[in-house]
Amino acid sequence: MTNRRQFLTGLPVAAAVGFTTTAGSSSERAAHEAKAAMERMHHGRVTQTGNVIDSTKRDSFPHLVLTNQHGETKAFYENYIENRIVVMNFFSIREEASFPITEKLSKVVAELGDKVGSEIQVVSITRDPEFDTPDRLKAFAAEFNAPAAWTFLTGSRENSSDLAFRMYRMGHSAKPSQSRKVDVIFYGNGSAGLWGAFPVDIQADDAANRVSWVMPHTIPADGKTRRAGPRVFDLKDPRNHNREV
Amino acid sequence: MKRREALKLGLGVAGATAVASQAGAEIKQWPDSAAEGLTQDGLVFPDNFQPSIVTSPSPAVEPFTAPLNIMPTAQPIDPATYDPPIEPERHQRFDDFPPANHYEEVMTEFRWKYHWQPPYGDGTPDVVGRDGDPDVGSWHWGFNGITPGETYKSNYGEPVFLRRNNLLPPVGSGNVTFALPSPTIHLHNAHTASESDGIPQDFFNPGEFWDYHYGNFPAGSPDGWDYDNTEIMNTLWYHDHRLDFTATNVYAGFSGFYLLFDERDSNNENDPNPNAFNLPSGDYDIPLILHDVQFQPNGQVIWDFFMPDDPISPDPKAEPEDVGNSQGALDDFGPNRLQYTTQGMVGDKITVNRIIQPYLDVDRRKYRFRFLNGGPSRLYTLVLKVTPAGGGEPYFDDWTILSNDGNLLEAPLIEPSFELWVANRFDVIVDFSKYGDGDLVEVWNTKEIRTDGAGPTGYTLEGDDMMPVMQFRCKAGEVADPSKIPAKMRKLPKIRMSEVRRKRLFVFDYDNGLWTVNGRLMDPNRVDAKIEQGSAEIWTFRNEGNAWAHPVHTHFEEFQILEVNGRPPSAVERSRKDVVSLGPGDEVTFFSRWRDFFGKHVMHCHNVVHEDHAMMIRWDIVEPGQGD
Repeated sequence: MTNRRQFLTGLPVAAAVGFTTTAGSSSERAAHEAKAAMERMHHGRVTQTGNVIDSTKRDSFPHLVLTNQHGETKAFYENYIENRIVVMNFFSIREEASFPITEKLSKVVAELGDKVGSEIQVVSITRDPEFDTPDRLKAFAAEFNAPAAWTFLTGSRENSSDLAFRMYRMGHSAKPSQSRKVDVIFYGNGSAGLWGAFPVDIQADDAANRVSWVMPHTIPADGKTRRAGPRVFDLKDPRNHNREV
Repeated sequence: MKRREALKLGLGVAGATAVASQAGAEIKQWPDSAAEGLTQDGLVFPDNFQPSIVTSPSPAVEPFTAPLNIMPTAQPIDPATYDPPIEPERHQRFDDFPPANHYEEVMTEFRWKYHWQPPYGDGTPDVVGRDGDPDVGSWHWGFNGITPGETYKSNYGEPVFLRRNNLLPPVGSGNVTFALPSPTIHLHNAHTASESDGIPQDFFNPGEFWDYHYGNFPAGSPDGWDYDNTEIMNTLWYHDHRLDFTATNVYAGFSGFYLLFDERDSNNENDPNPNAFNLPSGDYDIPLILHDVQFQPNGQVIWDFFMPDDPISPDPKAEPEDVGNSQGALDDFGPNRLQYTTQGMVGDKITVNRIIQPYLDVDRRKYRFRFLNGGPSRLYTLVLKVTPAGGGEPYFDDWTILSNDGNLLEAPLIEPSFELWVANRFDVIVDFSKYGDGDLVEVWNTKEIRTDGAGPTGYTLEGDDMMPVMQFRCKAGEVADPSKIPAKMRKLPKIRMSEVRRKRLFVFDYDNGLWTVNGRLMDPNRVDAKIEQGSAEIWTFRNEGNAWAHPVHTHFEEFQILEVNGRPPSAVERSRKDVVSLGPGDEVTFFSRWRDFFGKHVMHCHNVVHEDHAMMIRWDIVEPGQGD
């Protein structure tokens, strides 16, 4: 007999009027759930890419190669996504003047500091590959003092677009444009296949914080949950949330 | 050479290879997918990558063959068991609303059987949800081991304190991979202080808890109220609201009902109080939450954005043309190329209380059903189809509509259908006493929506194209029915234009894959509206799009619609509401008040994929004189 069945045995079954309901009281359900979940929370194994939920290959990334600012041509998913924490965006050098997404990203990269390289990879993919050659990307990266773990990628227009389409709906015409107002930067966990996006215009510290959301966390080992919030309310507090930390 | 031609020729020898990509070389031909040395699987994306809803429909099950799941009622705990104990100073006006009932929940991952038939279930008839073989079922998230969560039943004047413990597997270690295991749970649309509202920023990680304090008092009446207070609400729900991840987290299982009762809607159909409505209660008051879900062949839930086109054409067009990009920019690819779309997410299986197209055996008497569209993106028009047991011709019957968005109307309405957009709630009465033994009374959806989930197509599904939702089977025999349908219910709050401090216009639009409010995306550090406590405002929502829809929700207070496209609100729109159905090109104006608390809240599109990309604003309630 399974644990679940043992749990259910002996509990009163809800009065049957032609429907099903889960047996037990709130606290019995909670206690049953808590024990096993605590165990998993503390001793769970980090899975490699793909599992029962995601049946597709490469987290649905297209299989293609791109060339970086050093002229190296590599398979995209295997070299920049798989088993990595990734910050990713789409840009073009000619559009930067009117839509400075790379400058915004450079502030996020600065905010992330030493984590870039040790824990986080940054990947910027051009929307304008005809113009954005590896040479120009190298010079462009230098303008932002890009650390080694910030890779600028170019390739065919179709490859660039296929990647953009993997992440969101971005028309091909979104390459150099003088009128674009909004865009997002993606952050994800290439091991888990988990992706989010933050608007370009948010504050760098907020952006850096969001990247941490998809990174593995350590769990307090004492078996007790800790208070995340709310903190004591103060109308003058400038923080954008009610969390304790 | 186009990639498609390369494929025909066979790989490894194809052209367009990565050759001269050395630094400094201006090369004409950039490397393409057909590069030498890459294995062939996966190469074909996106040329033949199609969405599951097209290529891999959810495993078939016959509709109306699984029993309905009815969520158990949450039960209070002894507050002395909180460890650590409550810290009242963390909650605005705690002493004004001392908790009468305390609750505690755990949030975990588990397997859930959406149906008893394989691959959803273990094959034992009628065994669904958490029952049966524990190693069978789709991986899921939920509250106290079930999804939807337990139903909270509270009374006005009896505040609630609730601690939620996050015991989800941390990022990367769970089986639900598409969602973020640091939720925030919003009580929609409670009149609740910012810190208990579950705003998008107030998440808690695995191993952490959050305390919620729900005052359970009518807006504007913190010091007491009469039985006929016009701000009393009845059908609320709770759901995840995580910044950037609301769509996936709700889909993963975080939703449930929170019902409020009062002297009139008293949860007792035998109530002798002359003020009581005596609406159907107990086993005859059943909340129903609709989620449309997509499944893999193995029965696991999938989050799947890839959308079809008709016809699918990944090849560039000969000449650039207007494909609907922002600023009218021309493009030589179609607007509906296969991709991860931010338009929405639709599943091909409609679930009710997380069971696929269930059935319910009903007594032949009145029931109150509380319909809620839990999303993520699908919009419904629900009709009632009756098939007589004796073999008579099926026909459609009317609904008796009690409420809109959880607020009882001034009087019940008789309608042949109702529009259930994401987050809308409609309480209805169905009186089965007029049907015969064995008659089948079924709920069907007649609204066709775009396969990408962005909005309605404008067509009504008819005949075999209608989508089955659930079935009521009339039982034999007579039962007593003390419940009533009141002739009059709640009056609407007075609209006083003298209270209006200002008007605001919010324009909802689309910009290259992203969803904007007044041209911008959500920034939690930017206060888009500073509203003075105790004031009223008039807001106008305008949809600039002509092909998509937005169910727009604003937190904390109910509003009253003044105008829809220049006309007065319809009978069913003459209600307090918290979700605006903003169809293509629509413009809706409403009146609302903001009272009793301070702090941060949000307004956003409740097509939660739009919300995550990032159609939301932050508004704050500030002190009088500090507004913008």
